Amino acid sequence: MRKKKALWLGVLALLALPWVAMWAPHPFTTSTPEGTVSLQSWPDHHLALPTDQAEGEDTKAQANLPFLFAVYTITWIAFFGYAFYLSRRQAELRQEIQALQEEVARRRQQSSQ
Amino acid sequence: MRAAAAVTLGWVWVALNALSAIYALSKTGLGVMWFAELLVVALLASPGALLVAWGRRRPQRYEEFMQLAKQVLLPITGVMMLLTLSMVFLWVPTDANLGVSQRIFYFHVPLAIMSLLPPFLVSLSSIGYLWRRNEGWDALSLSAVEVGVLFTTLTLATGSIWARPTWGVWWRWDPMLTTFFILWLMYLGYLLLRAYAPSPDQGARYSAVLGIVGSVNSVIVYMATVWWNTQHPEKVVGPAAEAGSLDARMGVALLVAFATFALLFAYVLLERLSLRRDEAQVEVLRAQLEEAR
Repeated sequence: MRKKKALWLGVLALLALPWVAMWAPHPFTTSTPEGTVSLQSWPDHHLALPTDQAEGEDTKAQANLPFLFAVYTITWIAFFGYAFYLSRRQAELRQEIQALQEEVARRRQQSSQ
Repeated sequence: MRAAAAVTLGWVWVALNALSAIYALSKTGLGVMWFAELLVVALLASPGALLVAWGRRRPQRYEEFMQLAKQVLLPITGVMMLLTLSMVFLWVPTDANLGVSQRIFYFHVPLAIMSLLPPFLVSLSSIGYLWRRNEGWDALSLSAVEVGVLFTTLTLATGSIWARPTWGVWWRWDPMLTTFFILWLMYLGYLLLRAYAPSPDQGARYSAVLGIVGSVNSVIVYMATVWWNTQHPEKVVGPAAEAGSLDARMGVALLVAFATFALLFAYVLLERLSLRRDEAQVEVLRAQLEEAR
């Protein structure tokens, strides 16, 4: 029971971490001392940046945050959901195996009598 | 004898991967990523094959090993998840062109790379199944496809969300995206084929053939940005990438994220394999019950 609680707390903490980071003094706007960097192999013509993004570092940093959090949330929910489905299904199957084993043993005993 | 042959084959595979990694290291600036990629393939595919051979010979010890592996993998994966998140949200620099949305990269790219692992596992285990008709191969194949569906779905979803702020659209029928979409459809086709086959045996056989044929598509997906003029960004890691195309800190964060998703892949795959084993046991017990009537 305690294990389960700890697991759920861990999951909640994991899901909450970036949201807390978002409301904390903004990590994205404080760029590194070297400034921002660019993926060299992504030339500008590949991009169609909205104009509001090109206005300044702060705007650029904060724009599109919902997209990042959508990706983050979808990814972890999918993984936790799948892992939860697998463990639940496994628990059901283990119960079924036990019941079937008992039933087979009972029938064999009956037929031998 | 069979186990010895499987072990030998496994080690030959690991050695081949190591040689390819050394070659890649000498040819690319970010050889370490390629090495990590191959290491994961070696670590998952070869022991995966060995597990099948071993599981048949020593079912009890196999089960114990699976339990232990899951117990070890779970906390390590949890810690790695936290480390990845800390790096992605607090440590890596912001991209000059894409801004914050570039951080989707640390989810999308590892997911995409890991999506290309199941076709490899499926082709290997499908050949094994068609050759030996061992249920273990079939279980590995089915589990890899199911996990593959999860990874490809997430890759498509995260890619689509990322495309919106960068390209201004959710989807584009670009060669890279289209071939990846075909890979996703192939996984679904595999599962549908199994579900609607006249008998489980036929389903396993037909899907094994589809698994081998379909795995060719993973090579096309990987090479799409090289072969065609595509809107999708060029490779920034792996053998097809230009040297120095990724900032060092971004490279480190990507490597950590990749390790996390690889561990997650291994954990989910082991869970699915255990589930398949239980499903098979239920089928056997039901058959015994029918006989006892």
